[in-house]
Amino acid sequence: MLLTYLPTSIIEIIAFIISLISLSDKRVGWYKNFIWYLAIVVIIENFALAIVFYWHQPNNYWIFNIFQPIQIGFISWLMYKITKPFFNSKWLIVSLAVISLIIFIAENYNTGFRNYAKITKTYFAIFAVVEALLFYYYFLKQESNISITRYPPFWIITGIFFFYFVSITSNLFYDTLSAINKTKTKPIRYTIFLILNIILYGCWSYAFIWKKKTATSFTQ
Amino acid sequence: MEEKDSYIVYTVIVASCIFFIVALFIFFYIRLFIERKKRFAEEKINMQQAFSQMLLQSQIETQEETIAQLGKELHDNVGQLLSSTKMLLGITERAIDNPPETLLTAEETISKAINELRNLSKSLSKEWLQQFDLIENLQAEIIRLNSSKIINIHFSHPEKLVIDKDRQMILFRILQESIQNTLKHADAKNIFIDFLFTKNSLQIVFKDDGKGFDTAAKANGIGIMNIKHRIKLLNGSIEWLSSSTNGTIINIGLPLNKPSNEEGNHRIS
Amino acid sequence: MKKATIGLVDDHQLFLKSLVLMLESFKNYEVVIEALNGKDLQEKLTAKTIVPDIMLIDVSMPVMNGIETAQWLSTNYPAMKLVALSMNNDEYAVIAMLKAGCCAYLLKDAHPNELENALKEIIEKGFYNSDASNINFRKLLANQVNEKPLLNEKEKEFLGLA
Repeated sequence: MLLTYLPTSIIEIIAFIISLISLSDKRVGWYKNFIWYLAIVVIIENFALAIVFYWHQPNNYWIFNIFQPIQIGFISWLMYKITKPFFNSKWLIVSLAVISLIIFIAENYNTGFRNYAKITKTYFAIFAVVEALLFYYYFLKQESNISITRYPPFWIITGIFFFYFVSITSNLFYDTLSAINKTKTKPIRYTIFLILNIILYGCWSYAFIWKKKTATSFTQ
Repeated sequence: MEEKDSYIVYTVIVASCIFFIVALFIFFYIRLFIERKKRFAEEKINMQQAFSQMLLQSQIETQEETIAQLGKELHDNVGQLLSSTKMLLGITERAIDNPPETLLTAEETISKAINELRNLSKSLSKEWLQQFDLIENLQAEIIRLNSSKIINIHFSHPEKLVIDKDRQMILFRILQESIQNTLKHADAKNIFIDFLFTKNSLQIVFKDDGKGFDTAAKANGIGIMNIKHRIKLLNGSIEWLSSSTNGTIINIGLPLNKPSNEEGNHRIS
Repeated sequence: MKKATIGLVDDHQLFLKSLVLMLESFKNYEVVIEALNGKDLQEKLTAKTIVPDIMLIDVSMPVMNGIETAQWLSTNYPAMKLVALSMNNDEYAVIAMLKAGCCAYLLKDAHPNELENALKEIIEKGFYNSDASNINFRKLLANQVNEKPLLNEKEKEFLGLA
């Protein structure tokens, strides 16, 4: 059982280490915050694993629910930072984040804090995809031709886009999938999420490395 | 229940795959679009560069034509007047039994004038200059100018230049213009022109012992702009260093590319 | 001795006048035709019945230049002796004029004594080699070699036999 969940944790740890190596330089600016975010991700993930496999508690959703607002906040803030140079995204992103939080509170109120917040996750995924598509639109529209291989924000958004876009289906069918997982131990949802995590943190790590390269070479 | 479960599992997997493919498609589409945009921008820049290069070329060709025209006019019109005069002096000389010294001197002077005019018009004519290489042309120009005793030009050069004819021509005009600038403005007694070859460039150092000029103030003057345009056409570099005590130094750097086969053959024949 | 008749073609009026003056000062020449260019000369030659013995031709003229004029004259008046007269001593002009049928190439700023001498020699020998004009023969020969690097059939045959 542990082997099913461990790879995701390992990937997050790798991403955290890469961020630590690449983004500890002062010149990377606000990218530094990735280190904190990924540190929280790693702690939450391993704590969740410990709950189930060390303390043998059956339910660890509450810890992910604690993490949910942090995720909404950080991803929204990231979106704002990245889209700011291309279009006036402030109010759109703030209101989508607020809506997500309201949905989250409502969902917790209705189903309890110890349940998987699938509605929140689904809506927030849709919002994130919309924001990512808006970024792509304005990114293509602008005049200067930035090389995407060397442009970290593009890869950060691409990671988010893949992760949330594909995760929508698994979240929609969460109930059935988790039932199947319980009866037949077919961890379909975890497998999909593992792939999505690889894509997300792969894109981010790539962005971190380029950020370090460009940030340190520009100011030399 | 069994069937429904596996049905949902497959639906989720297929839907996730489709979503993934769609995301991938969007990603590759964006990449393609950006790459195309970049290529388009690059092509645009290349075209602009080619265009400005062409513009420069044609500007210089027009100048060259104007210079040639001027030379021809000078030669044909003034030259004809001078030769007519010389002929009339000759006739007069023959008509007088004992021609006075002054008449002979006048004839000699006119001959000199005609000769100088002929050489001048040659140094202005592209067709004439292109029969020789830069070193021969410069030497002829220097002999012509040194004979005036106004200036003394010292020229040190290699045996042979490996630059194609058109580039040599442009370089000749640059040096001609520089010499003219010195003659007109610098009050110099000497000019030193040195050709130095480095590994893959030709360095030309042009130095005079005149009174110098304010390089900043004259940076956009017609003469200097002309030279800059020509240097740009050669992909070379140029800088002016000037002071009232040490005169003016012009450093010219030209990248050397190996002569093409055609050029090589031409040289052998 | 009969006076030799001379024709002149030059687009510069002033020079033409001084040339006439000079030739008249030589006593034994008579200028019968003065033309401003080749075309003008063609018209004047067909209108007049006199054909001059010697024709002095300027190289650069408008409408019809010296080379064309010399070619036309050497085909239509083969007996006429053609002399090129020019401000220029560049070898292309020299070669072209000699090819077109001129038997001498004189510079306009030559001393009258040289001109008289030249005319005399042309009448007596049929040609005159100017030693005054500083023609760059090395360059000229180099260009000649350049122009025909290939041997013609006969030459090849000859080389084959040798």
